[in-house]
Amino acid sequence: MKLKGDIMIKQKIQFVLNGKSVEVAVKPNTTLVDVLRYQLKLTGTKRGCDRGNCGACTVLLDGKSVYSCLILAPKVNNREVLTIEGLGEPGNLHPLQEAFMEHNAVQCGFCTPGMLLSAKALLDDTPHPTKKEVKTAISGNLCRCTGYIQIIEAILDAAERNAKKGR
Amino acid sequence: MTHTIVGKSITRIDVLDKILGRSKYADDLEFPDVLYAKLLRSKFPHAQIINIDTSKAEKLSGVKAIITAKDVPVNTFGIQFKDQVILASNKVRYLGDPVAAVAAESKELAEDAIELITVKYKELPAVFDSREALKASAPKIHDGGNFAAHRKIRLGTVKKGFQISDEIIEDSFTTQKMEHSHIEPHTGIATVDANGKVTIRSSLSVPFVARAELARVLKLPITKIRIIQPECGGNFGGRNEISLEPYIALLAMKTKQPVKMVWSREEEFIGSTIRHSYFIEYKTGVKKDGRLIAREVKMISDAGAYSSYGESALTKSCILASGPYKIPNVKVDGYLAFTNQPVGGAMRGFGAPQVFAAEETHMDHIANNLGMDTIELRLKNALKTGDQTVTGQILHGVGFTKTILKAAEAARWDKHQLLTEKETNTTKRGMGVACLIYPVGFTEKANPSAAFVKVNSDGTMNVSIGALDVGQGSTTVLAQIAAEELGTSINNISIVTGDTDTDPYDTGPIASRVTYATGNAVRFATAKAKQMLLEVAAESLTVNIDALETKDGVIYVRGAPQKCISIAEAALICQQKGKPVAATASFNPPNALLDPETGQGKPYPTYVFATQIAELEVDTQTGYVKVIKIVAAHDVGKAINPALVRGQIIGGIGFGLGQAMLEKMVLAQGKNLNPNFLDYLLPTSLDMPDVEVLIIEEPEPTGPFGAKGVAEPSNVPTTPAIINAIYDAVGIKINDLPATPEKVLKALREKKG
Repeated sequence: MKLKGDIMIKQKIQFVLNGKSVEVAVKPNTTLVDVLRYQLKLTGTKRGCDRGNCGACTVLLDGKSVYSCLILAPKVNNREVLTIEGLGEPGNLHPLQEAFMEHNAVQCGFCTPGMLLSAKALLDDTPHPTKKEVKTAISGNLCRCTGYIQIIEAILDAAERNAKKGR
Repeated sequence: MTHTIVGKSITRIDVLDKILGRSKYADDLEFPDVLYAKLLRSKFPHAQIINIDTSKAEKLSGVKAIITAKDVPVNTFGIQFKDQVILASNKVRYLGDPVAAVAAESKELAEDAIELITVKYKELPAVFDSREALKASAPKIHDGGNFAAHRKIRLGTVKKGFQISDEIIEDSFTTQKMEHSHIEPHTGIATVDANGKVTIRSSLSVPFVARAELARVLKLPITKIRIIQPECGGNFGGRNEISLEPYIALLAMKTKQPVKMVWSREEEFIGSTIRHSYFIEYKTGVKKDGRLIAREVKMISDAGAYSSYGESALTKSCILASGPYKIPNVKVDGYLAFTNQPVGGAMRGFGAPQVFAAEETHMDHIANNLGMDTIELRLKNALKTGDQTVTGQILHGVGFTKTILKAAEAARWDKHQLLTEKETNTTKRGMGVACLIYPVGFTEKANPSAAFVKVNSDGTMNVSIGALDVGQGSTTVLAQIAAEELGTSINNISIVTGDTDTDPYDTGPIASRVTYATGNAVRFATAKAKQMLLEVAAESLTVNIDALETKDGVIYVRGAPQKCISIAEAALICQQKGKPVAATASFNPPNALLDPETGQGKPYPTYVFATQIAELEVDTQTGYVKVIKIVAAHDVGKAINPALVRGQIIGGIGFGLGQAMLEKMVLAQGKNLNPNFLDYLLPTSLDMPDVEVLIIEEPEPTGPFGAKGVAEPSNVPTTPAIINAIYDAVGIKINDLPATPEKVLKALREKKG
């Protein structure tokens, strides 16, 4: 029988995480979500299914939204990762965070970080999305609480705020 | 009465941590030397255990403990009947039954160890269909057989009622098994201190019930068990009883190290509780003018391997089987059967989604037979204030008719024939309505809430409660109730919750009861504290206490607001007088046991009502149904926070849409074939229609500021509204959920002939 517990070889990887360079030794079979959560202690990225179905682990890799549970950690070597911890901070919230707050787009909050990052990837690429484009952009992020509508309203509103701010 | 905080869409008070990714859910917590636990579950749906050999696994380096049935002090549990095992000893009854649990230094090692445990089984014949299970020839799952419960409602004489009816309409309906699918899987961490006190961090929605259950299983005094609830990633009934807690507690006690267990998504499907599937038969006698005269309903609920909440949910199903209508002659029989299937538990709607899917589509069938508008039929029979329910309970504050009229107006029901203008050769449009009566609080049983408040010397107030916010926003709502009652800003309220050592008792965020029950407890405790403040204020201002009012943190004389003292000053005076301001209060929704033979009695304190209208398009070439819009009118009593109410209703509509069109646990020989979100389809953003929410506020005299509640009911009418709209569009009646494109297409072809 092939046991899983015996993979001990680690390799060093370096990447830019939320604007800062980090170096970390990882097993080759470790996924990005586990490195973020359990090695780098950034627990804002959630694990909901661990097989790329739910979207709770969504982060941005070189600006594109990805499921971090499907990315092997060595794959991010020399690349750039943005997690929820790098999106905004108290007093300097990202417009999407402000809009999520004001539109009651959050209930249990477990899908929220992934949802915000998928929304950011959309707005970075398409600053003035249609409702259909918003729906499509977050269709890989499951939410069991909200029924999505307040999230969609928030993203459309954030796009408008961005336009006004010229961001 | 004008309110300053109640009725306002205040931003939820826990939102900042959530949008920053800083909220700590169970798996986000870190403990030194933590061990990872994993369960070995049954290999067969029904089998005798001959032998369990853990020796190989024990020898694996890094494995710290393995437990089997012999390690469990009291190896039974169950919310109503203690018929479930923590770890199976001589028999397994479904594929989710745990047989052994392992704690190891890493997740991988724990998984390896599980693979090294060998269990010798003797397979037993199994039964997977609840109707088959009730036959005498069926293999017996429990010593007492497979018959788990029979609940009855008897009102009037149905036989006579059918005799005097002009028409009798019959239908049968089948509902599916569903998984809660909260995005955060079940997760827990147990630690044990040097004195043997066990602390469990797990987002249980019933911490006090769970604590008592764990004390029983572990044979410890309740004071030796502490449950701390981290942030909860969704509940929907999925955390309404103990799940992984006994294993991590036992393993932590054995290893003296912290032990963590996280269920995989697959385990959520295989080993957690699910929504009961039902077979339902309806027969209704009706007069030509649309008056409902008699109704007979028979339903069989699949309990799965253990009873869990099965009987309680079935009771609710039976009570609600006559819908929100006045029917003089009713006979309902509900049966609960054990099978070798996953265990049915509490799930959003608790027995209502199944019966309303049948009942409200049956109502359309009746209307169509009579050639009557379906809304007219509902209006004609609608329950009103002063009417008696099927259990003989006299209703007050019924906003039902209003929900029908408002929904019909907003959906432009009168113009719904014009929908054909939007049709093409291959797409047909339809509109469907469905209504609801739904109770607040537990069926028949006591379900108290308590609150403890302290007013501090700066005028702020701590409110301790035992009902965790599982995402619905209850903490914000309770803070609004406290702020309104005290007469201060919501920023001055701090809600403290999530720890059984310090929280006052609460039945928990289940049965749509927190706003009503915990809300009342909070309001009453706050009123008591306020009374202490008013007493010193009256003395200080030399006025009668009745002349005083509070607002914005100030106690003032009515009509002479310049004569005032701040709440802070009054609190400080109380403190200096040696009587710091603190108060407790509790509330138990009034209800009473039902007569076991007739089902007569007062099962609930109050009821909410709703009407939803769905508009959709059916592609006749593919069977694909696109829901375009849902209008949802809900009587919730006073809406303490309209934005949160809207959020609950829209979220529920998503849930109901999943039940109508997408979700179904596919089981073959007790094995779940789609235990993941790729094959078990949850609604996504692309599936959601536009939703127009209409909040109807028919005040509930016994609720805090007139509130009833929202929570569960919103998903219930969505399913039948969609099924009825499909019929309206293409004339096919789906009576087996969900209405997948394959099913719709098949029915369309059959209709064509």
